[in-house]
Amino acid sequence: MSSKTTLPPTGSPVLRITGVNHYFGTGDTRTQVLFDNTLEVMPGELVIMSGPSGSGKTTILTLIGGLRTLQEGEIEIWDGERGDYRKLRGTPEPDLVHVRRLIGFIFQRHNLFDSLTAMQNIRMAQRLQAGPSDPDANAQELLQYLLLGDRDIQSKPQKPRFHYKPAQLSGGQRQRVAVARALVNRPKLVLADEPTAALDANSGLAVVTLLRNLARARPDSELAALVRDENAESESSGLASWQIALLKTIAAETGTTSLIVTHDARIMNLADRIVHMERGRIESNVVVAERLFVRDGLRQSPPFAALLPEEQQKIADELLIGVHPDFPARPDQLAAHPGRVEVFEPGEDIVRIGDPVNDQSKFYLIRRGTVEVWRATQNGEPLRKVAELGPGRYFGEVALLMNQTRNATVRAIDRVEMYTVDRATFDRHKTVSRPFIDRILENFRVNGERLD
Amino acid sequence: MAAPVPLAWRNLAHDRVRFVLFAAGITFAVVLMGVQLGIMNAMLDSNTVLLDRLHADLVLVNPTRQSLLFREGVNRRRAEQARQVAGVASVEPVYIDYQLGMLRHTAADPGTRTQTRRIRVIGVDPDSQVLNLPGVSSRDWEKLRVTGTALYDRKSRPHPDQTQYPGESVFGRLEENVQTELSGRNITLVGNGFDLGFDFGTDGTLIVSDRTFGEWLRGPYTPPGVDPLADIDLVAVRLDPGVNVVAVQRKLQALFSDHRDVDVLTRSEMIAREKWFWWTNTPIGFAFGVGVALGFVVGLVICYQILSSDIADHAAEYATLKAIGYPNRYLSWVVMQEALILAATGFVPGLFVTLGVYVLLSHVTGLSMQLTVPRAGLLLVLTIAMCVASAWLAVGKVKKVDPADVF
Repeated sequence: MSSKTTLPPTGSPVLRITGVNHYFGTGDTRTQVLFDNTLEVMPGELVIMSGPSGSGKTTILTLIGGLRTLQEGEIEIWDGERGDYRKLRGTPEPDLVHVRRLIGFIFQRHNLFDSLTAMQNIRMAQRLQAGPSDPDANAQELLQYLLLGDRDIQSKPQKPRFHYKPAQLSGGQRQRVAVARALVNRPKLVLADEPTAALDANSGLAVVTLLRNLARARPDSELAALVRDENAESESSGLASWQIALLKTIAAETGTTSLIVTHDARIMNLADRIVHMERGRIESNVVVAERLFVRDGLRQSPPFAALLPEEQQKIADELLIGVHPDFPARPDQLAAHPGRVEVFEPGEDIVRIGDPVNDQSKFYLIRRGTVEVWRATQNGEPLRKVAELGPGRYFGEVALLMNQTRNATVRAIDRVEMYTVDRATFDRHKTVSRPFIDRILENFRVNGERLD
Repeated sequence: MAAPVPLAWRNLAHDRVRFVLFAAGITFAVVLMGVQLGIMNAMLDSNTVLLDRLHADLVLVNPTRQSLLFREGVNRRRAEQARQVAGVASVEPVYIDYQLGMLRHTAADPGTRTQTRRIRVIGVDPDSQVLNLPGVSSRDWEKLRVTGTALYDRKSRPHPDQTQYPGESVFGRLEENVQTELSGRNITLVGNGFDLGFDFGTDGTLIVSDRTFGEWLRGPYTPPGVDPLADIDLVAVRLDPGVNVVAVQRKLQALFSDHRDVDVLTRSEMIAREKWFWWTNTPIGFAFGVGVALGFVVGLVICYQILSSDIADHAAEYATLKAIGYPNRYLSWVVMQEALILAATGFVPGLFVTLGVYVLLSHVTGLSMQLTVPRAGLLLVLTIAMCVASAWLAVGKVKKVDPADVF
């Protein structure tokens, strides 16, 4: 177990892919299969890589794993033992061997040695690391959790499969041994190709739950929700209560990042980040939490709440920068998505009362930081602070809707990051929800109390 | 750290039937090499059996005498000089002749008594005990004092038609009291016989007294007034107990250094010299060397096929090991271990089968085939070299396994 490893500094990725191109063949048959791919993956993320067959998912996975020679671009992997990134470009084979030891590989085929028992196959991986004092116990705990120990999913006793050879195991059981082999050293990066394809629902859930808990500890309530109903039919999907208890021991050390190529919809819903590839390119890189954050923020605003969910999603996706809202955006991340997020320093005015509305006017959704709102209740009176708004709150839509000057001043209290919707985008979607907006406007005209 | 996994052994032993077949393949190669080596050694050994039986610590021999087969001798004066050197207990002359001894066939039928055949004749002092011949008693040596008697070799070349002439040699029946002719003189065979065997130079051996040897074989060809026994073929030097053999050898070499007509050799050096002559002057070395090489190559191919098929069968698993961080040198070591296991499992039964073949061939051909510890050691070294060489060739395949293929 890699207890001496460290995670990268806060806000830094565990994996950074920059401008990666890749070619197969030589001469006339040389074909480009990856095109200028850039991606950052943060510690503890569960990343799903999706895309049609031949889109380059597996190729990029093999490049990350140091299994192919990186031709163009750069891939950097955090080496927790060294406390630094390892760059794969031009790295000689002996160093690549060390990089591979940082990673846990789960293959679509189990690739177990048929001459070795389950424990011996796992021990092959354990031999590569200075592991815990009792490596066998560690391996047996994993196998037990993966339903290959002395208890089945219904908590009934069964014969442990620890010393079974692959020929004595079913396809799913072999795959679970392969999963245990990949995770026994508690790598900080896991690369998996369809890890649940050969697994039944319970085993698949156990594997994914393990990966999620190795990423970060989950609240007891979340884990409790996974416990299957003991009285239900045998087909009922879930984890046994003893598995949950064991999970806490196995996943005591967190921070594991997993990149999973899968078409399994059950896993898709659990992803922290979804990377979609098409024809060798990363077409989308969505941090699920950010997408939910933006979509929920937009939904609070009546003009956006009136839109169909698909339209809401479309606008939200146009604002995303691929960074979890818990983390501040770095300048390079902002520069990679110009116009999506603006940053204001403390004391800086974001909008001023009386500013005219023009083509540069925007709608704002606070990503990080706090703003204060100042307005005059009656003409001629000095401005007074009427509200403080934090992350997830929005402002600026009324002036855009009513095409009138700003009716308040909004000022940054601390460093503020703001998702912005420009007027062109705002107007484009406004037409879709025209009837609803008219009703809202009528409401504003009657009351005249709404901010901005 | 977790306990090591004996991957090489597990991979080989996993399928027991296949493993037995693998071991049988290596065993076959071991037997092939062992038998070729055995025949080669037997042929070389047969030429030195007499020297093996020589009761001597050092031997004086003419430097130009590359083999016992030749005639050049050592002057008796040198033997006398050697006797005076401190540490020398005794000096005994041994006379050997390959050309002049013509033995008439011993068959009783006078009609067939015309046939004679060349035989090696050795002349020694019957009291000297210079030859260590199991089966020859002191009474037999006493009988030899009578001129016209000879001890005979029970292992003379057998008659080619043993069905019609069972137990007979090419010289006829050799047993006590048989009377026949040696170089035109009547001779009587005495004693129960000894076992020296035939070789490239002779079909058999008679031992006579030095007196008989001098009168019958050397006398007719020696000028009057000259001692026919003045020229000694081998001088067997025995040393006092506890004396350093090499030290005395150096003393004797220094003594004869001005004359350069005597080589002073230990018995093992003399044996090596004799073998070297036959090795370099006959096709034995080449013929059986090719046989051994053939066995080596066959074994190498068998072992290579075994290792290659194992690598092909486990390509995905080896690729997985590479992917999870095992270096090429580990995989190469696994292949090498498999080769060494195959060498060990093929060698042990191969050694026993080889031993069995030696016994069989010795019985059938009369050749003395002996599997000594050094020879078994040589066979082991050849077996290991064969398997290691095949592993060295097969390692290239495992190095080419692409870890990217596992995805």
